[in-house]
Amino acid sequence: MCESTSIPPELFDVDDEGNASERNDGVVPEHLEEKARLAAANCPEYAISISESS
Amino acid sequence: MSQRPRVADWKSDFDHTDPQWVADPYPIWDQLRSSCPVAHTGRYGGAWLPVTRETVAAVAYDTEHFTSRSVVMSEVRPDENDLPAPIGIAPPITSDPPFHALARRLLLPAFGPKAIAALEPFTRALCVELLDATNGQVQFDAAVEYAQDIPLRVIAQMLGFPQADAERFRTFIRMVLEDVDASAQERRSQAESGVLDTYIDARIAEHLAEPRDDLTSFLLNAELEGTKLHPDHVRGTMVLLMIAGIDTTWSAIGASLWHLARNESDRARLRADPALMDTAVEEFLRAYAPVTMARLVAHDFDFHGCPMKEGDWVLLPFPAANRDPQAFPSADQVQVDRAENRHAAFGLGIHRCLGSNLARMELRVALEEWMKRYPDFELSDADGVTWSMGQVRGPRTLPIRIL
Repeated sequence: MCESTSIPPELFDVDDEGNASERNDGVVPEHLEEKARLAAANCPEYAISISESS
Repeated sequence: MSQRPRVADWKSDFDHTDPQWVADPYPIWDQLRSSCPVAHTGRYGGAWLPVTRETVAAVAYDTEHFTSRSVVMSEVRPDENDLPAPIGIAPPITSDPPFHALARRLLLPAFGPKAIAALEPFTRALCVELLDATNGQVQFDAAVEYAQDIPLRVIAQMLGFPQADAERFRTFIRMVLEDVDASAQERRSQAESGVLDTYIDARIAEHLAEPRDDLTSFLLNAELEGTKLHPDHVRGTMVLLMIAGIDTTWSAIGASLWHLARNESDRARLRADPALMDTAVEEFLRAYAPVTMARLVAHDFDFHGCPMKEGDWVLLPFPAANRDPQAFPSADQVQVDRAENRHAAFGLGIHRCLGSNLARMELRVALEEWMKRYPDFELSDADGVTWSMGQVRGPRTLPIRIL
């Protein structure tokens, strides 16, 4: 069960059980980078991690 | 009120029913955090108290050394007769792995984002109805006349119980959650009185005779590995929803209103920018997290230098973890625009609150409707505010004056 307020719908799909999976294979568009950073910073279980590619 | 001797040394003799803890536990936790990460008491037959985010999390994640067979600390420990293992008395909160995962998974769809969004109109109409009932009053008790009734009636609605019965639930909840300072004998006789079971059995019989689209019929039809749930499992889960879903949210709504009543600048910020409510709700959950859990030590072992013995209680104060300055900058300050807020108000690990979507929805809607109706208000009698005793913390009387 993910806590839906901390996971932006632009970045994650949430199923009926409340489990979230990342959209777009987890690739974050540039304009959503701040939202992704906040989602990672707010996940109580440290379940979201971000890796940067150049 | 507690009949126990007052606490003189919190490090070696803590008691969560002590009037000092009930009135204001935060300074106690701050003091303990700087002196030792885990306090002890000989009360309740022996108990430990971690107060840092790190140690609270370590206990919550360790289901091998800590069992959830009982999650409410009192003089009574569960014995074999109490526990239809592996279910526990209120699955899945009292269940351990591996049964826990099955029992929890079963409930997920009922508390997922879609199911909870569908309950929002009911909740909003209920808040409006409760506020309408306060019309014309300049002073009233916001805990009793507003906060309390919201989760009571939302849970009644979800279970398909008569709305008029909401008042009766309150009595059951108080018995389980707030009379924790009772003697072992009193506590056992409460548990054995069977009033709650009788009530629930009557509702189950009605639903068996006439199935409906609600959580009670959902549980009665649910199957685990091809078999209908054991009647004890159905009843236990219904008890869990009443216990876990009512006092907790009532406390969070009440504590948030208590904060706003005392902080003019935060009221003004929320009036000026209602979109701040999302971060404000998270900050109220962090700063005034209502729920402390408990575990029992499964077998002797050493935890952070503490010689824990099988059967010792461990109190898990998520509200203390949320005030740990190592985990949160300015942890003791309420900042309604705090954007990074990895709080543990809903617990951590496999038992993390199943109803977090529901609780957040109720808290947000309750505060939105309140602020729309009463954008300015204050405490009418600061000394008249009383706080619950036990593992769920929130104001039980909250006298406010509408400005």
